[in-house]
Amino acid sequence: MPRLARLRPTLLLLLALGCGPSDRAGGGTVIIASPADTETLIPALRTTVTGRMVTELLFDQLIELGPTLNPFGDAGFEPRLAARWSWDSDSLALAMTLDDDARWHDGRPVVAADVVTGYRVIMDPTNGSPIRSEITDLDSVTVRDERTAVLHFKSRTAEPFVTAAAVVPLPSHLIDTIPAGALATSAFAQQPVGSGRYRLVAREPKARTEFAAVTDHYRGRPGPDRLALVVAPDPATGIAKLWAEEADVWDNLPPTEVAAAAAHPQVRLIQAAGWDYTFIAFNYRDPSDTARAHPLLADHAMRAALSHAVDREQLVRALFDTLARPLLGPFVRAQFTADTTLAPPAFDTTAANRLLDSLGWTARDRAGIRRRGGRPLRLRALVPAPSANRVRASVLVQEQLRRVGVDLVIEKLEGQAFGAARDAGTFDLVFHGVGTTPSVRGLRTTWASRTPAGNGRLNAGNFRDTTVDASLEAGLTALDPERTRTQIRTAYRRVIDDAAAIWLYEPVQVAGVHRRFVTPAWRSDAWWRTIGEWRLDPAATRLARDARPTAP
Amino acid sequence: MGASLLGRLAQGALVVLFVVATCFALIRLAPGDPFFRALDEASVPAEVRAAQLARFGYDRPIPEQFARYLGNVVRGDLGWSHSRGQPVAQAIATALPSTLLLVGTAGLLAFVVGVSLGAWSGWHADRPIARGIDRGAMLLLSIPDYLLALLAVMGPALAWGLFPVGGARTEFGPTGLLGLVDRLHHLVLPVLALALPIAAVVTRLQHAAMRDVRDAAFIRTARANGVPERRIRWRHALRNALVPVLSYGGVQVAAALSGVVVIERIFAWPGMGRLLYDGVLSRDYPLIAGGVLVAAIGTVLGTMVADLAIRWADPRQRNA
Repeated sequence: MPRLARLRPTLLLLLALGCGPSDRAGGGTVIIASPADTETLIPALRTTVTGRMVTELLFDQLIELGPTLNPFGDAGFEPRLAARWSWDSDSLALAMTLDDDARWHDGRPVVAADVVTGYRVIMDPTNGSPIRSEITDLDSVTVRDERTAVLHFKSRTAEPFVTAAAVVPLPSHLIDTIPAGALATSAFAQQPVGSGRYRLVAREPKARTEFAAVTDHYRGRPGPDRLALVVAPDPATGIAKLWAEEADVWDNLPPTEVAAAAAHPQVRLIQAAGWDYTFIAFNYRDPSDTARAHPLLADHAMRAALSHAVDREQLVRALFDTLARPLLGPFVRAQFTADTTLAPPAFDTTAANRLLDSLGWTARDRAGIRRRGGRPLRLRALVPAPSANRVRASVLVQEQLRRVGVDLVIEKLEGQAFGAARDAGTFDLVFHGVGTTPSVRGLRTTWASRTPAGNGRLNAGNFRDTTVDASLEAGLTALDPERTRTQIRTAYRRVIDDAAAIWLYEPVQVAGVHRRFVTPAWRSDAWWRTIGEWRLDPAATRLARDARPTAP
Repeated sequence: MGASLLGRLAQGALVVLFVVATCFALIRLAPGDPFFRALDEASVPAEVRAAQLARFGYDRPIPEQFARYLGNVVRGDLGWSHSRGQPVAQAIATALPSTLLLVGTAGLLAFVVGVSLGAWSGWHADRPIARGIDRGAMLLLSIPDYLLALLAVMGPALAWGLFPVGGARTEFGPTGLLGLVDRLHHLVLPVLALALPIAAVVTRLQHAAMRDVRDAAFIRTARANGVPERRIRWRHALRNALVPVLSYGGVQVAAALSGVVVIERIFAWPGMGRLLYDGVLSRDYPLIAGGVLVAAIGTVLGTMVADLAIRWADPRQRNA
């Protein structure tokens, strides 16, 4: 006892050193301001980026793509609910062994049957899961034992682990009693029990969603005690909340606001690679009869002329200053398969004029618009009104095309009307945007020829090229990442060489984060995945909301 | 009186039915559907969307859908909001009190200020200060409400830090009495942004009405009969001059139940305006129908209340 008494000051010092600083550094409350809310709390039903964020906070995946962002093979993936995995001897069955400590938020262990339930929810057509079309390479999921689920693939592909990550386990003890087709409207959908590092506390759709840290999580206690997603439908208000310290994160600041950040020293700007790109797709089919080729744009010379007429460097500078780069092709530079040696047609009005002249568009009216056979060279472009950048870009492109004698008529439509017109093919040009991911399987839907199986579903211009189709298939089924890269790059080159689009820009992401948080390396593809590692800077002043919440 | 009221109620029910039916049909004729989500990535495949549309009966003829909807409404079921993932009744039950608080406070403020200023300036229309009030109201009226709201966010909220930028309360803020104070603090700017333009209209209407009334024959008669000036002004003149203001106010406040979209968006205020606006953008058919139903009922009731108030203010209307 006397000995312990002598040790007490030392113990106290150790406690102070060991617990004090970490206790101070942990905790805190992160308020994420966002212009959009999630449309669901169920991973299998999410369709938007915000939906991805919220469902990934609530539900852990079996495995997760790590910071290398390499989707090929398993080298780039990290364990989550699955602690380890192995291929069976036939190379088609992937056994995922669950982490022994993984628990649902209600305390029940995560078991192999939960993986089957996650798969079943995706595949049940009455649930309408959009992920169903993304995991067509998966044949079934079975239970080997309580802790081991087996994913059976139809064939080996380049990205089997992307598929495995898409099958998010769901609590079978809660889901399996829900009648078919009733999941989206069930009580579970409003108050789900997840497996992620944060659990749902409260939700007011289109206003706020509150999360609390799961303190005994199998991956360790996350840093921030609480998170809240606060919806600010007007971006100006949302960003103003960040400036006013009412919010801690706005993950995609527009260039004008980036400049304003200097006046708000409590906000740190974090720049990261962008995953969205914007281009003007040419319609290869006649808008009035999609069975016919487009009377003007089916001609490569016309597409090339229009591509030469647009000064993309100037457009990017005008719209984004240095916060975007001219697009190289149907990919962003951050992708594993990106090929920075590719170059779309250069800005060259002489070449544009020469090509248009060669097509017979030589006469001009008083406004300088070219005419042929008495008809003006007039094209109709669809532009989505909700996208301020694309609306501004369309005006600049309209002026640049006018200089070579092309009359671009801008048809600005609200979101759903834009989507409907684009999908119906009733346009000449469309200002299109694509949100990519590290996985390249999306190329099948954006640039492959349209098929009843769903290929080319987002191929707005109805571009068709057998070489592109073959290269994509070869690339996406190759087992060697280098071969995949080569094949995918071949597809890129063909799309660019065909002048299928005018490749406009890929913006970089600039996030604003409150300085009192120390953040790990920013994940450009999904920044929220590391939010559990955020720590309060011990030297920074805490805000009132950082006070540790009292136990309920 | 009772028969008249019943007649008005029956008329109102028909109006509500017509408005809901029109919106019900129009939104279904617009491009898109509730399962078309993202702008660029129609990530829900067409066949999945088709299956979902069939599951909720949106592939049926519109009259059939409407008949089924009315049947459900009679049973108290307003349907499921696809964009919010909750029952429509629950969504409205959350949004409506927020809007009533905002619109009610703003309406009260606008009418108290507008009627007071308008009545005083109209009665003393020849004084420079009265002309100043009228021109000030005109100036305020010419500022678009969204600009006023944005200026409020940029100035008092952001630059001076006097008020919160948006939302209905501080996230993880105080509770109890301090929580109530916090809510009132959040209410100030949206209420002002909403109330000031209405107050300007009311001021001008009241000013004009009061100016007309002050020289009316019945006022001169009252004055000749020795009725005190104060009583003439506030009892006889104002009551008469309130008629156009009440007429305007009833419609304006009722319409504001669904029409404060701009204010609610800019101040991130979770009310009926945003509910309906988001519903239209996401083609959330049941949410739109439910929101329109509530807004139409509110407008009809508001108009009826205004009519009753006009009857109180103007005895001639009682026999009309």
